[in-house]
Amino acid sequence: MHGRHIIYRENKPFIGTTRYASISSHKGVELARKDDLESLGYMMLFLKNGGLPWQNLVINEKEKNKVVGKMKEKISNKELCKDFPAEMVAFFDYVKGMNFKDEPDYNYLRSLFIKIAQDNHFDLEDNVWDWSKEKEPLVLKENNNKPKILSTKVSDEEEEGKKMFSYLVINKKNEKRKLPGGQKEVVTSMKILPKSETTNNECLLIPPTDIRRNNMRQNSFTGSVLSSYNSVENYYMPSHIYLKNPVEYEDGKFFYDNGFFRFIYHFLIFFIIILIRIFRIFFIIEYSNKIYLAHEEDMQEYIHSKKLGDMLAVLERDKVKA
Amino acid sequence: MFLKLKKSQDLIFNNTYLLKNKISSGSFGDVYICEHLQTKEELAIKLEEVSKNEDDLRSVLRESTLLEKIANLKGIPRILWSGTEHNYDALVMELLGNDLAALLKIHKKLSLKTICMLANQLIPLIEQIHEKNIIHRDIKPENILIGKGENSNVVYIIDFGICMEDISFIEKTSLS
Repeated sequence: MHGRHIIYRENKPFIGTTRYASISSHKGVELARKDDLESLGYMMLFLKNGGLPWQNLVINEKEKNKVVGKMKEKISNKELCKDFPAEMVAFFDYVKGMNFKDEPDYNYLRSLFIKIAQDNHFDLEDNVWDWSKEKEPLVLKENNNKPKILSTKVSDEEEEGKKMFSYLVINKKNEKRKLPGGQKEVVTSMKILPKSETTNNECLLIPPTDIRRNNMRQNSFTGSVLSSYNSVENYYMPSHIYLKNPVEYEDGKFFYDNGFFRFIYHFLIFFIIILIRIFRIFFIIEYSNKIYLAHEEDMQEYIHSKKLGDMLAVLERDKVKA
Repeated sequence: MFLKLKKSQDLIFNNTYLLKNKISSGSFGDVYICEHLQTKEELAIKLEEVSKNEDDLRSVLRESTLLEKIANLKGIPRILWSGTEHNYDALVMELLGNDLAALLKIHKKLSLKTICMLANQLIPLIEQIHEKNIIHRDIKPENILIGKGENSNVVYIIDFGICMEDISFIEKTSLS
């Protein structure tokens, strides 16, 4: 190794990864052996702390290299290795203090880490890594028989309704209540029952009781015979509201129901409108040109004829005079 | 780099290595899993598309020549074959385990003991690489892997794509 080394160069393009690059890499100096070790040091800090001080900076990419480089220069080794033993500071002191051509003393650097291990009574040869303790993967237990309750709050109305029907309710969605403390509470409650518990209609909606009473209406327009049986009709009777009628309506039956075709349909209409507009503009331009040209020709002819006429008139006048 | 591999299942390199799914992408080229057709052993293959521009550096081939120099080191992946086929520069290596970045994602932080164990293996490894006149230039958690199976306690350094050889830049003035 003696006598042969890379030529010292400057203004080299940045190479490597900004986060772990050495200071001289930011400066654009040719990289040497010490820079590998410096990157190794930053990497170990990153692994221990889960982050580095120059991470998550809000700068654009061009300036990032310069700013991170300056940060690495400014920060003291003690501040950098806050949560580390003093040996880590010595590691950075040694690595950063080296010159371009210096041959690093690898044994010294290694001994620093061995000393940390001795101080903390680590056995480096026992092959117990953080990842050797394998954990059992978490398995989410799902009970299919019980209804999934997505909300934490269950309103009284819901309790009432529960006695009458089994249903899927989207009850009082996002209703805001005023609490004594002046805070606003958002009550969102949703309950999904398994299929076995639902009725044939699958989706039934039950309103809160207060709304239900207010929205009663008299069915005056029905016939006299019928009216004797159902003169009062509830807006929210379960049989009246079908979110989705499985018998009559099938999803995707019409092409408009298909999301893809619907998209193309809309796109085509949009496209045609734009085409028409463009053509109109072209049309106007072309036509206006022709109109203008035609107009000009006519004018010239007119002028010409007028001149001729004038001349003839003059000639005639002269004749008369003569 | 975007590789257009339409029928990746049909691609066989050197009549022995069947290309399978992609694992990751290195600084140059992408890394795939491949299977040895005879032994059914799973290996890693690094592929880089051969560009039409001849001036471009074919870094995978360069990496393979460099890796041959430092082969047989503990902590350097074993090279099985390298060459150019199907318009790709290919490099077949032994398959390794997780890289440190992936492990950090699982564990959030690593303990001081693990750091010491890593340093204990990595510093001599870097020393050996430097002795062969090679500077890695891109040491980061993504490039440091843990072995598989028997070698699950060995720390590996990979991706010599942007590393540099000393010899090509010998300082002549100092010799004279």
